Amino acid sequence: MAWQWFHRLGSPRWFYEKTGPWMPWLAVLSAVLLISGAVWGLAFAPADMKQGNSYRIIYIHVPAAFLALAGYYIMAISGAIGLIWKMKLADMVMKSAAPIGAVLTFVALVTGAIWGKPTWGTWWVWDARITSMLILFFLYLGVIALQEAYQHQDTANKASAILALVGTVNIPIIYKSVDWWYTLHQPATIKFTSESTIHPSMLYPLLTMVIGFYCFYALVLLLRTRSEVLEREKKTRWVQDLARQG
Amino acid sequence: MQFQFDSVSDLLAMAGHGPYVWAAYGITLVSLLYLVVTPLRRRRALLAALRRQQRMNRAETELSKQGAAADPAATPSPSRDPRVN
Amino acid sequence: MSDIPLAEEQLLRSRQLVSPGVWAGFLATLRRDTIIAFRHRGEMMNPLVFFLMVITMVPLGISPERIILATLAPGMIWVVALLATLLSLDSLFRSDFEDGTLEQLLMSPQPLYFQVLAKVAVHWLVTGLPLTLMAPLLGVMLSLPAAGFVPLCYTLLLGTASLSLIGAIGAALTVALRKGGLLLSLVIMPLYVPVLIFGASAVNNGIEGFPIGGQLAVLGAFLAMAIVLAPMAAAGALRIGING
Repeated sequence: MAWQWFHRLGSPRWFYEKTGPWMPWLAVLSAVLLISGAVWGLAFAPADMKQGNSYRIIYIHVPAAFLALAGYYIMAISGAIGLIWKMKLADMVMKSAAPIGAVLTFVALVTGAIWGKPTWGTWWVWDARITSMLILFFLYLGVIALQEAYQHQDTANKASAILALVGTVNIPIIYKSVDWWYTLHQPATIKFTSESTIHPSMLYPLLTMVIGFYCFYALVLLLRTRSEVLEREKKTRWVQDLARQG
Repeated sequence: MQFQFDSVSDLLAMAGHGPYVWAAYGITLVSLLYLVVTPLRRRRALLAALRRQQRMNRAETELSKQGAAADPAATPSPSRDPRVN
Repeated sequence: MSDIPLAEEQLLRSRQLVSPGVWAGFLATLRRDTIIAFRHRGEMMNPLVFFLMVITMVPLGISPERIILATLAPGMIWVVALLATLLSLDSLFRSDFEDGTLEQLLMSPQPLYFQVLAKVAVHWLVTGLPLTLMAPLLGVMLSLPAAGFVPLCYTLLLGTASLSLIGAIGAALTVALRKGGLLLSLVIMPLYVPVLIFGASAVNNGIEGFPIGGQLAVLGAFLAMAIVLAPMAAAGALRIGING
């Protein structure tokens, strides 16, 4: 009995009907969190002593970077579930997670570059974290490219699941190597380690934004997976009925 | 917690850092909206396409019925209803 | 074309002997692939010519000055060796896929893991090893400081083996696609980052007179991990590519 929900998850229809009522709530929740967090961070949190107002980018940069990395693991784990238990739904989640993760990685990179201009005086610095983020972006692009290249949907899913798993094994190694590489070449002028002593008045809006981004991620992942479910099941009676209802 | 700026124009300027901060938030907003809008549009397009096909199928079966009524000897065209899985 | 009799020979053998051992299967694939590789000697030369040509472009594009070239040399040689390996990987499973040998391998009682390992070993033997042997010559052309030559050879020897193994995953993932070449590079290049970092930095360390044992140990660890994991992933990918 305990495993019943797990087997039910294999049914795309069950998933679609179950998650339907969640969507408005999730949308409202993430909108409220993101808007209040952004307003709080932009207008009410105190300015940073050293960086002034430019630090306010942290409220989108850090959550996006969190989700970019977490998203890769979500993608790889659902890919693994799809490979091991041959669960169609997990494949659909994996396929949906790839573009979301890529966009969030892109957001983290761009906001980081914009933040770097007033802080370091340059758009791009080969900093360890930025470089790792860039490589994560490439990993996402690889998964998406592989997914697109196969005509047959099932093969595409399996192949990109394997690639995602290989990437998961490699991510810690890549991060450690890039860290090590950076300490080797670190220019003495750039020091950026003040994040650990962040003041609570700056931290709370950040936490709001992080939770908001998580909710948003869940929302978008469900949205994408749901439309993927409809696409794959379009020949079945329940999707046809759904279309008839409007 | 208090409003950190003297005026709205002050908030927009952010002591010179305004363009950077607002550009970052703007790009993020556009990216997040893109993530929300694409699956919604795809869902709507798919359902519309299915509806269109259903209408076509219905019209086809109507026609074949009429044809069958007019000419009883004509063989009824096989149903091409996609619902039959 | 010349490999068909070999495939038949292997098939005949596998019928005669009911089930040859893992080691015998490994050796058979190793032998077969080596013979095929040496029958296509022209193809074997291609990565080396590519290596040489790109290295020639460096002074033309940047500067022929010795000091500049010397600072660029370790990283440049490493990056180009990496690219040469990548370009040669597309053909790793391609011809076997096209003539059906791969399906035979998949159906054979031998574990696919060792078959893939044998194929990768041959690939390294005909690309990684020649690239390593050729690297000192290119080092001379890029006026690599004398202390850099030994580290360059050691790191390339260890590193190209890892590159071949990791690349085999990409080759397996893209074998069923008609235009897999560029995709293979896109998919695999990010995974090459650690090897490149440690390989190139060991050469730089060697030039500056620091010990390179640490980096070599890390490269060795990468290689050990790649030997264990990469053929597994590649075997899984091959099954998917062929069975759909």
